[in-house]
Amino acid sequence: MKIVYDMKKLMNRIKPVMLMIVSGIMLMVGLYSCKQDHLTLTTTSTVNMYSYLQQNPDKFSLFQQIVDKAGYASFLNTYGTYTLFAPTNDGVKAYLKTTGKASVDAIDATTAKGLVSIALIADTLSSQYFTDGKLRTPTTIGQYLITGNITINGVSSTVINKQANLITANIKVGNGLIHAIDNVLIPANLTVAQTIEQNPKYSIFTAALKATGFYDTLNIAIADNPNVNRKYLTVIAQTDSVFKANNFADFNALKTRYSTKGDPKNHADSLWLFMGYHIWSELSYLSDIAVLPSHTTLAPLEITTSQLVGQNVLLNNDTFNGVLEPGKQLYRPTSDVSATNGVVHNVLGHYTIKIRFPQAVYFDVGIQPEILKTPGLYRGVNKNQQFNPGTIAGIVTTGSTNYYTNYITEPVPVNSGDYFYNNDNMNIGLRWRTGNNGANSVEFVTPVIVKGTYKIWVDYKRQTSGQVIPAFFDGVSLPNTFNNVDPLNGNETDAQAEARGFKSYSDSPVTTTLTNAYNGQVGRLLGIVTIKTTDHHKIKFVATAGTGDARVLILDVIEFRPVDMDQIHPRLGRDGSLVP
Amino acid sequence: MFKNIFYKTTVLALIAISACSCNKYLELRPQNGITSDNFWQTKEQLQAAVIGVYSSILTPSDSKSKAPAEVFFLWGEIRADFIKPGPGLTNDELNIINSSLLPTNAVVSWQPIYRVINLCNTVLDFGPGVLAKDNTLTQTQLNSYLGEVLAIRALMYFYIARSFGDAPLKIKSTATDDDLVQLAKSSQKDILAQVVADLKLAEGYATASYGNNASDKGRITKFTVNAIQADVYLWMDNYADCITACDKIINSGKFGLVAGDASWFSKLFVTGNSSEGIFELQFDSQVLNPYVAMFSPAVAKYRFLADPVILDNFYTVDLVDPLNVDIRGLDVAIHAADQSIYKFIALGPNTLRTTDISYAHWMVYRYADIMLMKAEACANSARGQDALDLINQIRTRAHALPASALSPAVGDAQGLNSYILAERAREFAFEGKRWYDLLRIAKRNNYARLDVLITAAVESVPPLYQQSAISKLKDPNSLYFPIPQADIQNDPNLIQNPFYK
Repeated sequence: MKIVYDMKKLMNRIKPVMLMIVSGIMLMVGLYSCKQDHLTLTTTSTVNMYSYLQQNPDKFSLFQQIVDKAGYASFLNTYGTYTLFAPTNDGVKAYLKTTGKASVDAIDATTAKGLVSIALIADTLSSQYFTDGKLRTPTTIGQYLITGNITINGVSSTVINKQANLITANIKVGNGLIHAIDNVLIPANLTVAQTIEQNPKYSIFTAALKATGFYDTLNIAIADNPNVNRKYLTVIAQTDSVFKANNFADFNALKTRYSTKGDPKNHADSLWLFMGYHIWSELSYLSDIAVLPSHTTLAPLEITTSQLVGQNVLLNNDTFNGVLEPGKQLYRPTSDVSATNGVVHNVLGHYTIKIRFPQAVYFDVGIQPEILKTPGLYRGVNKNQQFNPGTIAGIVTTGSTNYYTNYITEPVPVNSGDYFYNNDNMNIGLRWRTGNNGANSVEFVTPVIVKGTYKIWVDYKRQTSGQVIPAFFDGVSLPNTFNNVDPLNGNETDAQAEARGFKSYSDSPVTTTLTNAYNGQVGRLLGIVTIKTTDHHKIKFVATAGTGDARVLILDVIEFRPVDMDQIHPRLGRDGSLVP
Repeated sequence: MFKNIFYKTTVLALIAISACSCNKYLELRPQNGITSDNFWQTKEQLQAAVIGVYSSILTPSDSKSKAPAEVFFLWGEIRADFIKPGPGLTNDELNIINSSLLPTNAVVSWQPIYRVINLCNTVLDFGPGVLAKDNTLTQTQLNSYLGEVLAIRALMYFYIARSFGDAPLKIKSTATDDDLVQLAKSSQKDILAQVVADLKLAEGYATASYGNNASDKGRITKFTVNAIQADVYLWMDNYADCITACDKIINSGKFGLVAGDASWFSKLFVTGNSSEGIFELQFDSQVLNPYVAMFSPAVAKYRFLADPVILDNFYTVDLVDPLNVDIRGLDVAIHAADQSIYKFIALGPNTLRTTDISYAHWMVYRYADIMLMKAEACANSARGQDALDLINQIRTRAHALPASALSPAVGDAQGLNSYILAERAREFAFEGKRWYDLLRIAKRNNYARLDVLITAAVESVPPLYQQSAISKLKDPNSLYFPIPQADIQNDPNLIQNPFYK
């Protein structure tokens, strides 16, 4: 009884304890259930562009408002590969101040769209892609941004589109890169024509553009231009002071001097050609002009050459027949002016299409800058210097890289039977044949050839075993092939030989014995070509001999003689002279 | 009975324990290495540690990093005007040539150099303790070893200071985790002060000769210390001390120019350890250098070519007698056929080294360098005639052509400096000195000669980047490398150099 009582008492005492424990556990469970799981469900915490702007209101809150205004918020937050040049708040404030607006709200939606579109590129371009010129991809508004660098008081900064300085480069976000800049990029809103017209220094040039009708050519927005090749144009403008320095006081003086047909809109009128020559159908900033050697102009079949000499970009700085014709310099501070449909440069000098008449070019294949620069080699005595494929810019070979092009000069006295022009020649590839084990083809860049119609002669040294070699000029197959086993024949006259397409190009005496060494300096007619532009061109020879054949190709000269010229005389002398 | 069981159990247990004892379960020491408290006991171990420091200059620490011997070339040449990209050039290297350098660029990693510095610090911290443990080690011997590592550490910090400007200065070894510290940058001035102090100490410690030619050229001697001193003083525009240091070497009578005859190239560059060598990195068949892989057109992805215009612009051509050439140009600095950088990869005018014999020495200092350093110091301290005499000695040996001769007046310090710069370019082409020469001349008198850097950039930077590169050069902060990005992230006390922020 006592025990039962005690048990009851005990149970009574335990009950509240149990209750408390149970309720405590339930409370804990209940409380715990309110806690959220802190599991990271995303693979990265990197945000996209718009979110990045939101996360950094101290820097980008104003630009974010512009994006909102433009309605591009969701677009900037989609995944993709973009580059955004985001102006900081200070930059936007400066923009508002200059445009006289109180706040971002005062910017209308169209302008806001322009401001965001010019700052956005559908490509990821880190700061290592910033050159002196345009970025490789246009912005979403269609204009290219240019980059550069400026140093003021010993502090260097990268300049974007001549409008803003780069503050922080290469901020990685989920959909590309953000570059923070200190000012708002403003899209160009004038066409090339308007840009030139707006500049009072170009008044004569503008008048000439209008008179020739090129003003309208330059005044078409990219989207409206039906001609895909002329969406972007580059204009080389001359200031009034340049015209005046060349005795053109005003547009009338220019018209009087050049307008040969009296109608500047006529495409045969020299004023039309003069103006067309100053417009290139390409988008080239100065850095592009420094890199590309020649540019097609709107004057039909006329090209302008360009060259970087030291720091100066020069136009038409060319050597003709060994004489340098000094070029005209592009003035950097007033060049690279972007327009909606192109770019305007300023040239320090008056330049025109040069009237040239076809002239014979005797292209000694050994005259290559790399050979000239090697001390003691060029026209040295008894030299045999190999040049690996790729080391001479003007000679491109295909086939095995183990087969070199050798530049060879004659010993003193000259080997009997050798009558090479300038006593030098080139041995192409050592093994001139098809397959992996030899040089398969060779392409030469010619000197500048004036436009016109020419006969092309290849002057080779006859080999005891030859092969048929097809030739190509600017990629077009020439009518004749040649076989470098063919000798000259002393039994025929010069005229008979020429009729067959052969000639003795050197001062070697030709004998009646065909295999005599004297008969081995052979000129062979490859065909007649009409060269349309005055420029460097390319001529290519292709090997056809079998993979195992031991064949060589020794080239001396490639002659380009105008069709109306004597094709045999002058001959090319061993000492480099022309033999009448 | 019970006793018997107890004994048996005890014996069994003892056997079991002793059988296990060979496995050293409780031993925490690594079994395949040696720990520092077991090392630093004998003078042989001390010597091994010192030789290890030299070895660390020749070889990279692992496959991902570069050997300091390669870094010396990259830092000394890649920003200058003598090289062109080869087919295997890395993106990072191209970006430096294009003057668009970011802190993430692998070429600016200073790890290879600080690794050598740490090894030097280790010897300096633990080396002196050997004296107490090994009675056969004399104080003179110990000092000689300490002198070697002090000089190497000074040389490494000199490279760091010239390349980065300001950088962390660590002069205690990182031997345990407790030694890891997050240092801030020290200024270039402070680093150079440390370098000068170290060299002064090293000069007193170092031996004049080890008794054999190979060691005298490949290890630090008193004269190597003087050579580094001359270079450092010249960098600091301290001309008097530079001349003193040069004179110590010149007056020692132990060095001279290799005669400029037919065997010149072979003696100086192919065989090495010539009378002209003061400090050479001695690669051999066991430790190959990286240069054949970097320069030889016989390997697929060689990275650097010589700029062919240097033949015209620097060595010049004798138009009357084409066989009269500057012996330092064709087939020494550059091979005309393929424009390869030639002195480290050739056995002769037409014979290339193959990969298995790629062990041409790297010239850290040679006698010609001392002469031209002295000439530069003389030119800037109103001793123009002495400077011209020294230049002419170098030119006579090299059969330099009249077309490359300049004739500045003895009082024309600028003209003399330009002449010395051009002569150094001819003499030490591709020996890792060109950029430092350009920078030293350019920065003198508060960057009075920035024109030399700009002229170099006009020649070497591709047209697409030329104008930006020139503009950047006008900002003195751009002339030094950025702090490597990895170190910026690991060390909050490091602040990026202003140009790269």
